Amino acid sequence: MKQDKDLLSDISDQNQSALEALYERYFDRMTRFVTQITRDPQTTLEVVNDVFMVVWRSAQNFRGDSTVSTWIMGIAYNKALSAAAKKKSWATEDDCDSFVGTAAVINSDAHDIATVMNKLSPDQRAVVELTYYAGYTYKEIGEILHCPENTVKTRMFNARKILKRTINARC
Amino acid sequence: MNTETELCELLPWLINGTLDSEDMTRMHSHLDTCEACQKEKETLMQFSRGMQATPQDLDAVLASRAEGIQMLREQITDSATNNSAGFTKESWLQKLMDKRVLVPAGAFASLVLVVSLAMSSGLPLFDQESGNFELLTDDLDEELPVVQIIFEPGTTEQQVRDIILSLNASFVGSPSDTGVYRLELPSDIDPERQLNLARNLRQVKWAELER
Repeated sequence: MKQDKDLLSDISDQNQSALEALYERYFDRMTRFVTQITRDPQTTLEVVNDVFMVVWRSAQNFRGDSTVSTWIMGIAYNKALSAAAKKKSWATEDDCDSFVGTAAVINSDAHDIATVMNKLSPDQRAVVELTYYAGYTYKEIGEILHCPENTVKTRMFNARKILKRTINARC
Repeated sequence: MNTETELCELLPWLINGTLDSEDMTRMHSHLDTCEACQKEKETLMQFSRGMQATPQDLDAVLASRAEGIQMLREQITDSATNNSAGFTKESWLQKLMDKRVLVPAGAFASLVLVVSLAMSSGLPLFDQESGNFELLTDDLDEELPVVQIIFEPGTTEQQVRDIILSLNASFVGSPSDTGVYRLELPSDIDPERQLNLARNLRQVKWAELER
Protein backbone atom coordinates (compact mmCIF):
# COMPACT_ATOMS: atom_id res chain seq x y z
CA MET A 1 0.00 0.00 0.00
CA LYS A 2 1.36 3.37 -1.01
CA GLN A 3 2.18 5.90 1.67
CA ASP A 4 0.32 9.19 1.82
CA LYS A 5 3.30 11.16 0.57
CA ASP A 6 3.67 8.90 -2.45
CA LEU A 7 -0.01 9.23 -3.27
CA LEU A 8 0.31 13.00 -2.96
CA SER A 9 3.27 12.96 -5.28
CA ASP A 10 1.16 11.04 -7.82
CA ILE A 11 -1.70 13.50 -7.32
CA SER A 12 0.66 16.36 -8.11
CA ASP A 13 1.20 14.59 -11.46
CA GLN A 14 -2.58 14.79 -11.94
CA ASN A 15 -3.11 11.11 -11.17
CA GLN A 16 -6.80 10.94 -10.38
CA SER A 17 -6.62 7.33 -9.15
CA ALA A 18 -4.16 8.45 -6.49
CA LEU A 19 -6.60 11.16 -5.38
CA GLU A 20 -9.39 8.62 -5.14
CA ALA A 21 -7.16 6.28 -3.15
CA LEU A 22 -6.39 9.08 -0.70
CA TYR A 23 -10.10 9.92 -0.57
CA GLU A 24 -10.94 6.34 0.37
CA ARG A 25 -8.25 6.35 3.02
CA TYR A 26 -9.42 9.55 4.71
CA PHE A 27 -13.15 9.41 4.07
CA ASP A 28 -14.29 7.91 7.38
CA ARG A 29 -12.21 9.99 9.74
CA MET A 30 -12.71 13.18 7.77
CA THR A 31 -16.45 12.66 7.54
CA ARG A 32 -16.75 12.22 11.28
CA PHE A 33 -14.40 15.11 12.00
CA VAL A 34 -16.20 17.52 9.69
CA THR A 35 -19.58 16.54 11.10
CA GLN A 36 -18.38 17.06 14.66
CA ILE A 37 -17.58 20.65 13.76
CA THR A 38 -20.50 21.51 11.50
CA ARG A 39 -23.11 19.35 13.29
CA ASP A 40 -24.75 19.11 9.89
CA PRO A 41 -24.32 15.71 8.22
CA GLN A 42 -26.06 16.96 5.11
CA THR A 43 -23.22 19.28 4.22
CA THR A 44 -20.46 16.87 5.20
CA LEU A 45 -20.04 15.23 1.79
CA GLU A 46 -19.83 18.62 0.11
CA VAL A 47 -17.20 19.80 2.57
CA VAL A 48 -15.16 16.60 2.25
CA ASN A 49 -15.21 16.90 -1.53
CA ASP A 50 -14.18 20.55 -1.33
CA VAL A 51 -11.20 19.45 0.75
CA PHE A 52 -10.11 16.96 -1.86
CA MET A 53 -10.51 19.50 -4.64
CA VAL A 54 -8.03 21.67 -2.72
CA VAL A 55 -5.73 18.65 -2.40
CA TRP A 56 -6.07 18.09 -6.16
CA ARG A 57 -5.16 21.66 -6.96
CA SER A 58 -2.48 22.14 -4.31
CA ALA A 59 -0.68 18.78 -4.16
CA GLN A 60 2.28 20.02 -6.16
CA ASN A 61 2.82 22.83 -3.66
CA PHE A 62 2.77 20.74 -0.50
CA ARG A 63 5.86 21.84 1.33
CA GLY A 64 6.32 18.81 3.61
CA ASP A 65 6.50 20.97 6.74
CA SER A 66 3.86 18.71 8.24
CA THR A 67 2.68 15.21 7.43
CA VAL A 68 0.23 14.74 4.59
CA SER A 69 -2.30 13.62 7.17
CA THR A 70 -2.18 16.76 9.29
CA TRP A 71 -2.13 18.90 6.15
CA ILE A 72 -5.27 17.32 4.74
CA MET A 73 -7.10 17.33 8.05
CA GLY A 74 -6.04 20.95 8.56
CA ILE A 75 -7.72 21.86 5.28
CA ALA A 76 -10.77 19.92 6.44
CA TYR A 77 -10.83 21.89 9.67
CA ASN A 78 -10.78 25.21 7.82
CA LYS A 79 -13.47 24.09 5.40
CA ALA A 80 -15.65 22.75 8.20
CA LEU A 81 -15.38 25.99 10.15
CA SER A 82 -16.37 27.95 7.05
CA ALA A 83 -19.33 25.67 6.43
CA ALA A 84 -20.42 25.91 10.05
CA ALA A 85 -20.14 29.69 10.01
CA LYS A 86 -22.35 29.85 6.92
CA LYS A 87 -25.01 27.65 8.38
CA LYS A 88 -24.61 28.57 12.05
CA SER A 89 -26.03 25.15 12.76
CA TRP A 90 -24.88 24.30 16.25
CA ALA A 91 -26.71 21.34 17.68
CA THR A 92 -28.58 21.89 20.89
CA GLU A 93 -28.94 19.56 23.77
CA ASP A 94 -32.32 18.48 22.36
CA ASP A 95 -30.56 17.15 19.28
CA CYS A 96 -28.33 14.82 21.23
CA ASP A 97 -30.43 11.74 20.49
CA SER A 98 -29.59 11.98 16.82
CA PHE A 99 -25.96 11.45 17.65
CA VAL A 100 -26.43 8.28 19.65
CA GLY A 101 -24.21 5.56 18.31
CA THR A 102 -25.54 2.32 16.96
CA ALA A 103 -22.44 0.17 17.12
CA ALA A 104 -21.71 -2.40 19.80
CA VAL A 105 -21.56 0.15 22.60
CA ILE A 106 -23.40 0.24 25.88
CA ASN A 107 -26.35 2.53 25.16
CA SER A 108 -25.86 4.66 28.21
CA ASP A 109 -22.27 5.36 27.19
CA ALA A 110 -23.36 6.33 23.72
CA HIS A 111 -25.94 8.69 25.15
CA ASP A 112 -23.34 10.21 27.45
CA ILE A 113 -21.01 10.69 24.50
CA ALA A 114 -23.68 12.42 22.48
CA THR A 115 -24.65 14.56 25.44
CA VAL A 116 -21.07 15.51 26.18
CA MET A 117 -20.19 16.26 22.58
CA ASN A 118 -23.17 18.55 22.24
CA LYS A 119 -22.02 20.55 25.23
CA LEU A 120 -18.56 21.13 23.79
CA SER A 121 -17.46 24.00 21.59
CA PRO A 122 -16.44 23.15 18.01
CA ASP A 123 -12.77 23.47 18.95
CA GLN A 124 -13.20 21.11 21.88
CA ARG A 125 -15.13 18.62 19.74
CA ALA A 126 -12.36 18.80 17.17
CA VAL A 127 -9.71 17.92 19.76
CA VAL A 128 -11.79 15.10 21.21
CA GLU A 129 -12.56 13.60 17.81
CA LEU A 130 -8.97 13.84 16.62
CA THR A 131 -7.73 12.21 19.83
CA TYR A 132 -10.15 9.40 20.51
CA TYR A 133 -11.33 8.43 17.05
CA ALA A 134 -8.63 9.58 14.65
CA GLY A 135 -5.80 8.77 17.10
CA TYR A 136 -3.53 11.78 16.55
CA THR A 137 -0.85 12.94 18.95
CA TYR A 138 -1.39 16.29 20.65
CA LYS A 139 1.41 17.72 18.52
CA GLU A 140 -0.35 16.61 15.33
CA ILE A 141 -3.64 18.01 16.58
CA GLY A 142 -1.92 21.35 17.09
CA GLU A 143 -0.79 21.24 13.44
CA ILE A 144 -4.27 20.37 12.23
CA LEU A 145 -6.00 23.06 14.28
CA HIS A 146 -3.21 25.60 13.73
CA CYS A 147 -2.74 26.17 17.46
CA PRO A 148 0.00 25.58 20.04
CA GLU A 149 0.20 22.22 21.80
CA ASN A 150 -0.74 23.81 25.10
CA THR A 151 -3.94 25.09 23.56
CA VAL A 152 -4.76 21.55 22.45
CA LYS A 153 -4.22 20.31 25.99
CA THR A 154 -6.32 23.14 27.44
CA ARG A 155 -9.22 22.42 25.11
CA MET A 156 -9.05 18.75 26.00
CA PHE A 157 -8.80 19.57 29.70
CA ASN A 158 -11.96 21.68 29.49
CA ALA A 159 -13.72 18.96 27.52
CA ARG A 160 -12.82 16.47 30.23
CA LYS A 161 -14.33 18.74 32.87
CA ILE A 162 -17.59 18.77 30.92
CA LEU A 163 -17.46 15.00 30.59
CA LYS A 164 -17.02 14.60 34.33
CA ARG A 165 -19.88 17.00 35.06
CA THR A 166 -22.14 15.14 32.64
CA ILE A 167 -21.35 11.73 34.08
CA ASN A 168 -21.80 13.02 37.64
CA ALA A 169 -25.11 14.65 36.75
CA ARG A 170 -26.35 11.38 35.29
CA CYS A 171 -25.47 9.55 38.46
CA MET B 1 2.51 24.37 36.03
CA ASN B 2 3.80 21.42 38.07
CA THR B 3 4.82 18.09 36.63
CA GLU B 4 1.83 16.22 38.03
CA THR B 5 -0.61 18.59 36.39
CA GLU B 6 1.29 18.30 33.12
CA LEU B 7 1.07 14.53 33.35
CA CYS B 8 -2.66 14.62 34.09
CA GLU B 9 -3.13 16.62 30.91
CA LEU B 10 -1.58 13.81 28.88
CA LEU B 11 -4.08 11.16 29.99
CA PRO B 12 -6.16 11.22 26.77
CA TRP B 13 -3.03 10.55 24.73
CA LEU B 14 -2.01 7.70 26.97
CA ILE B 15 -5.41 6.23 26.20
CA ASN B 16 -5.12 6.69 22.45
CA GLY B 17 -1.64 5.15 22.58
CA THR B 18 0.31 8.04 21.07
CA LEU B 19 2.52 9.15 23.95
CA ASP B 20 6.23 8.70 23.44
CA SER B 21 7.94 6.09 25.61
CA GLU B 22 9.29 8.61 28.10
CA ASP B 23 5.93 10.26 28.74
CA MET B 24 4.25 6.87 28.86
CA THR B 25 6.64 5.66 31.55
CA ARG B 26 6.10 8.83 33.56
CA MET B 27 2.34 8.52 33.19
CA HIS B 28 2.27 4.92 34.38
CA SER B 29 4.39 5.84 37.40
CA HIS B 30 2.02 8.70 38.16
CA LEU B 31 -1.03 6.47 37.82
CA ASP B 32 0.44 4.09 40.38
CA THR B 33 0.09 6.82 42.99
CA CYS B 34 -2.81 9.02 41.84
CA GLU B 35 -6.26 7.61 42.52
CA ALA B 36 -8.03 10.53 40.85
CA CYS B 37 -6.20 9.93 37.60
CA GLN B 38 -6.82 6.18 37.82
CA LYS B 39 -10.56 6.85 38.09
CA GLU B 40 -10.53 9.35 35.28
CA LYS B 41 -8.53 6.97 33.13
CA GLU B 42 -11.31 4.39 33.44
CA THR B 43 -13.93 7.00 32.52
CA LEU B 44 -11.94 8.19 29.56
CA MET B 45 -11.33 4.64 28.36
CA GLN B 46 -15.08 4.04 28.38
CA PHE B 47 -15.56 7.31 26.57
CA SER B 48 -12.92 6.35 24.05
CA ARG B 49 -14.63 3.02 23.37
CA GLY B 50 -17.90 4.88 22.91
CA MET B 51 -16.29 7.25 20.44
CA GLN B 52 -15.59 4.34 18.09
CA ALA B 53 -19.33 3.98 17.50
CA THR B 54 -20.82 5.64 14.47
CA PRO B 55 -23.24 8.44 15.25
CA GLN B 56 -26.60 7.49 13.83
CA ASP B 57 -26.90 10.44 11.46
CA LEU B 58 -23.57 9.59 9.90
CA ASP B 59 -24.56 6.10 8.74
CA ALA B 60 -26.00 7.48 5.52
CA VAL B 61 -23.05 9.79 4.88
CA LEU B 62 -20.49 7.06 5.50
CA ALA B 63 -22.39 4.82 3.12
CA SER B 64 -22.16 7.46 0.40
CA ARG B 65 -18.46 7.04 -0.20
CA ALA B 66 -18.95 5.85 -3.79
CA GLU B 67 -21.28 8.76 -4.47
CA GLY B 68 -18.67 11.09 -3.05
CA ILE B 69 -16.02 9.75 -5.40
CA GLN B 70 -18.35 10.14 -8.36
CA MET B 71 -19.05 13.75 -7.33
CA LEU B 72 -15.32 14.35 -7.02
CA ARG B 73 -14.73 13.06 -10.54
CA GLU B 74 -17.39 15.41 -11.85
CA GLN B 75 -15.91 18.33 -9.95
CA ILE B 76 -12.49 17.65 -11.43
CA THR B 77 -13.96 17.43 -14.92
CA ASP B 78 -15.92 20.65 -14.40
CA SER B 79 -12.85 22.36 -13.04
CA ALA B 80 -10.83 21.35 -16.09
CA THR B 81 -13.64 22.50 -18.40
CA ASN B 82 -13.92 25.87 -16.68
CA ASN B 83 -10.19 26.43 -16.88
CA SER B 84 -10.09 25.75 -20.59
CA ALA B 85 -13.27 27.59 -21.53
CA GLY B 86 -12.72 30.63 -19.36
CA PHE B 87 -15.19 31.98 -16.88
CA THR B 88 -18.45 33.62 -17.66
CA LYS B 89 -19.50 36.67 -15.76
CA GLU B 90 -22.25 34.61 -14.13
CA SER B 91 -19.88 31.92 -12.82
CA TRP B 92 -17.52 34.64 -11.68
CA LEU B 93 -20.25 36.38 -9.74
CA GLN B 94 -21.44 33.09 -8.28
CA LYS B 95 -17.91 32.45 -7.07
CA LEU B 96 -17.92 35.86 -5.44
CA MET B 97 -21.04 34.98 -3.53
CA ASP B 98 -19.44 31.74 -2.40
CA LYS B 99 -16.32 33.36 -1.08
CA ARG B 100 -15.62 33.95 2.54
CA VAL B 101 -14.85 37.59 2.08
CA LEU B 102 -17.31 39.45 4.24
CA VAL B 103 -19.34 42.24 2.79
CA PRO B 104 -21.76 44.61 4.46
CA ALA B 105 -25.38 43.89 3.94
CA GLY B 106 -26.56 45.26 0.64
CA ALA B 107 -23.17 45.11 -0.98
CA PHE B 108 -23.22 42.84 -3.95
CA ALA B 109 -19.91 41.24 -3.29
CA SER B 110 -16.46 42.32 -2.53
CA LEU B 111 -13.88 41.52 -5.07
CA VAL B 112 -10.82 39.74 -4.10
CA LEU B 113 -8.03 40.68 -6.31
CA VAL B 114 -5.02 38.62 -6.17
CA VAL B 115 -1.97 39.54 -7.90
CA SER B 116 0.31 36.63 -8.26
CA LEU B 117 3.85 36.89 -9.14
CA ALA B 118 4.46 33.69 -10.93
CA MET B 119 5.34 32.68 -14.39
CA SER B 120 8.95 33.55 -15.11
CA SER B 121 9.75 34.70 -11.60
CA GLY B 122 8.38 31.53 -10.03
CA LEU B 123 7.28 33.42 -6.94
CA PRO B 124 4.55 31.38 -5.30
CA LEU B 125 1.16 32.64 -4.24
CA PHE B 126 -0.30 31.91 -0.86
CA ASP B 127 -3.30 29.64 -0.93
CA GLN B 128 -5.46 30.46 2.06
CA GLU B 129 -7.28 27.14 1.99
CA SER B 130 -4.42 24.72 1.85
CA GLY B 131 -1.87 26.87 3.58
CA ASN B 132 0.42 26.35 0.64
CA PHE B 133 1.71 28.50 -2.08
CA GLU B 134 0.34 27.86 -5.52
CA LEU B 135 1.05 29.33 -8.86
CA LEU B 136 -1.99 30.77 -10.50
CA THR B 137 -0.82 30.75 -14.03
CA ASP B 138 -4.01 30.03 -15.90
CA ASP B 139 -5.27 32.35 -18.62
CA LEU B 140 -2.60 34.98 -18.11
CA ASP B 141 -2.28 37.79 -20.53
CA GLU B 142 1.41 37.82 -21.14
CA GLU B 143 1.30 41.22 -22.77
CA LEU B 144 0.13 43.20 -19.76
CA PRO B 145 1.27 42.96 -16.15
CA VAL B 146 -1.19 41.31 -13.81
CA VAL B 147 -1.55 41.74 -10.09
CA GLN B 148 -3.28 39.37 -7.69
CA ILE B 149 -4.78 40.89 -4.59
CA ILE B 150 -6.58 39.64 -1.51
CA PHE B 151 -8.81 42.18 0.18
CA GLU B 152 -9.39 42.40 3.86
CA PRO B 153 -12.72 40.99 5.04
CA GLY B 154 -15.35 43.70 5.15
CA THR B 155 -14.10 45.53 2.10
CA THR B 156 -17.13 46.86 0.28
CA GLU B 157 -17.79 46.68 -3.42
CA GLN B 158 -17.48 50.44 -3.72
CA GLN B 159 -14.09 50.40 -2.00
CA VAL B 160 -12.93 47.71 -4.40
CA ARG B 161 -14.10 49.74 -7.40
CA ASP B 162 -12.29 52.79 -6.05
CA ILE B 163 -9.11 50.80 -5.62
CA ILE B 164 -9.32 49.44 -9.15
CA LEU B 165 -9.80 52.95 -10.48
CA SER B 166 -6.90 54.26 -8.42
CA LEU B 167 -4.66 51.53 -9.83
CA ASN B 168 -5.91 52.12 -13.35
CA ALA B 169 -6.56 48.41 -13.50
CA SER B 170 -9.23 46.06 -14.80
CA PHE B 171 -10.32 42.57 -13.79
CA VAL B 172 -8.98 39.57 -15.60
CA GLY B 173 -10.88 36.32 -15.75
CA SER B 174 -12.67 35.02 -12.70
CA PRO B 175 -11.55 34.43 -9.15
CA SER B 176 -9.77 31.20 -8.37
CA ASP B 177 -11.39 28.64 -6.14
CA THR B 178 -9.35 30.07 -3.30
CA GLY B 179 -10.76 33.56 -3.81
CA VAL B 180 -7.83 35.02 -5.68
CA TYR B 181 -8.57 37.61 -8.36
CA ARG B 182 -6.40 39.17 -11.02
CA LEU B 183 -6.11 42.79 -12.04
CA GLU B 184 -4.59 43.73 -15.33
CA LEU B 185 -2.46 46.84 -15.21
CA PRO B 186 -1.90 49.24 -18.10
CA SER B 187 1.36 48.84 -19.96
CA ASP B 188 2.44 52.47 -19.58
CA ILE B 189 2.63 52.40 -15.77
CA ASP B 190 5.37 50.83 -13.71
CA PRO B 191 3.76 47.66 -12.26
CA GLU B 192 6.04 47.69 -9.22
CA ARG B 193 4.77 51.16 -8.41
CA GLN B 194 1.16 49.98 -8.73
CA LEU B 195 1.95 46.99 -6.56
CA ASN B 196 3.37 49.22 -3.84
CA LEU B 197 0.33 51.46 -4.10
CA ALA B 198 -1.94 48.47 -3.65
CA ARG B 199 0.02 47.16 -0.69
CA ASN B 200 -0.24 50.48 1.09
CA LEU B 201 -4.01 50.42 0.95
CA ARG B 202 -5.76 49.50 4.17
CA GLN B 203 -8.22 47.24 2.38
CA VAL B 204 -5.52 45.18 0.70
CA LYS B 205 -4.44 42.20 2.73
CA TRP B 206 -1.92 40.82 0.25
CA ALA B 207 -0.75 41.60 -3.24
CA GLU B 208 1.81 40.22 -5.65
CA LEU B 209 2.70 40.78 -9.26
CA GLU B 210 2.32 38.19 -11.93
CA ARG B 211 4.04 38.55 -15.27
